[in-house]
Order: sequence, then structure tokens, then C-alpha cells
Amino acid sequence: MPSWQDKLKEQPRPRPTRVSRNGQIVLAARARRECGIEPGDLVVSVPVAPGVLLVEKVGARDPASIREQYEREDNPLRGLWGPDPDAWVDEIRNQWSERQTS
Amino acid sequence: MERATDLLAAVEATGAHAFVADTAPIIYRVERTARRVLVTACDPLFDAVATGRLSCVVSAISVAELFIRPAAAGPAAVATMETFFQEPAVEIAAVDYETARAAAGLVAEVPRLADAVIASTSLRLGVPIVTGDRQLARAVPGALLIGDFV
Repeated sequence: MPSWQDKLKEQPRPRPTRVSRNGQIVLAARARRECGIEPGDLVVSVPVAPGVLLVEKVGARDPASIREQYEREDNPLRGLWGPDPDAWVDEIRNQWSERQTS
Repeated sequence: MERATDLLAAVEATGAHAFVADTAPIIYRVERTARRVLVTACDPLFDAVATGRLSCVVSAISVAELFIRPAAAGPAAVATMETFFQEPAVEIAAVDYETARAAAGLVAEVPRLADAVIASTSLRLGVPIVTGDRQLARAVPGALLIGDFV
């Protein structure tokens, strides 16, 4: 996947939009469509470099869809910690204790 | 005051809008094959995190623990583990000087250092820890033991 810098070089620069007094900006419709950002979505703005701001869609997800994603048979995390995750955590933490006392 | 019957209500009853998740409950959430009662006890809590109703704070110690097995299993497992940490309401608590310093003071009650660091994170932030570890829950004021809600 090309980096955002490469994409900027490839594409004609969109028309600028002015930042309002309270910091609001309008995201260009074409850019929104290409990124799959829709009205009502939550986004975060991440400063990337002087004058460069990354807008990332983070919208709250449907919890059921998240659970379904983890429930899938092909979830590569399924069973990874054995039948008793608490026992696995104990084992890892006891290793610390053994080193502390050695 | 009536005791909360589920973990979500118990966290919200503390007035905190966040909780510190110990490592095991996060494993229950993402791998799904642990004892069903534990998975279903924790799901409403993590569902609330998914919608942004609550924040889930994860100590950097837990992050390290959580990536051990996925790192050994391969990139697909690592990428799936990362999706949990990409949820907007999941925050990572660094083990900074103050947290580490306070953890050292807890070792008398919480002998394992990793437990002490996670306990110290909870106490410093003033939010409850959610854990499956009875000993840790006993030692940390306000801790919520998952076993009490199954």
C-alpha cells in the first residue's frame, strides 16, 4: 500500500478549505468517499508533521461485531493461552518472582 | 448500598469512567475459549469499552504479557491482538517512575512484581482493577474479582 506521502504526490491537490475560528474544517467529499468516512463517523486528528494532520476514522464499533470477530473459528488467538489463561498468567508472573529471589 | 451483580454495574458504581484490566480478562475477551462464565462475565464490560461508555486502561506490563503468545504464533495473531489495542477507548498506562516507585511499596502485600505494578497503576489512577486473581483482588482496595460476578 502506498504511503500517504506517495499518494499526495500522485494525486492532483484538492482545493484548499479554510480552518474556521474554532478549528472546524470541511473534509472534501471525494476524500471522504475514498476513505469510507461517512456522516456520523467518529474521527481523530493526529499531527504528523508541521502543517500535516492525519484524520483517522475510529468510530465506536458495534460491540456485537467485535465479539463475532473474536468468536470466529479462524481467529488466530483462539486457544493460544491454553485452556486456563489464568494459569498461563500465573506461570509468566511466577517466573519474575523466581528471578527476584534468585 | 446494594452490591452490583455484574461487573459493568460494579465498575460504574465506583463512579469511575474507566477500569484497569488485568491481563487475563483481556485474554478471555480476545481468545474466547476460556471458561464460558468468565468470558460472559467480562463481555458487558468490554462491550461498554467498544461503545466508548467506559475506558479500559491496560498497564504496559499486561501489553508485554499479551503479546508473548501471539508473537510466537505469527503475524496474524499479532495483528488480531493489535485490534484490541486499537479500540479508541483502550488506553495504555506506561510504567513511569511514580508507578514503579509506588509498586515497590506494594510488594509486601502483592509479592509478584508484575502484580504490584498493575495494582499501582490502578491505585495511582484511582480506578478499579478488574482481575481474575483472588490474591491481587484481596490486596488492592476497590479491586473487582471476576469470580465474584459469575
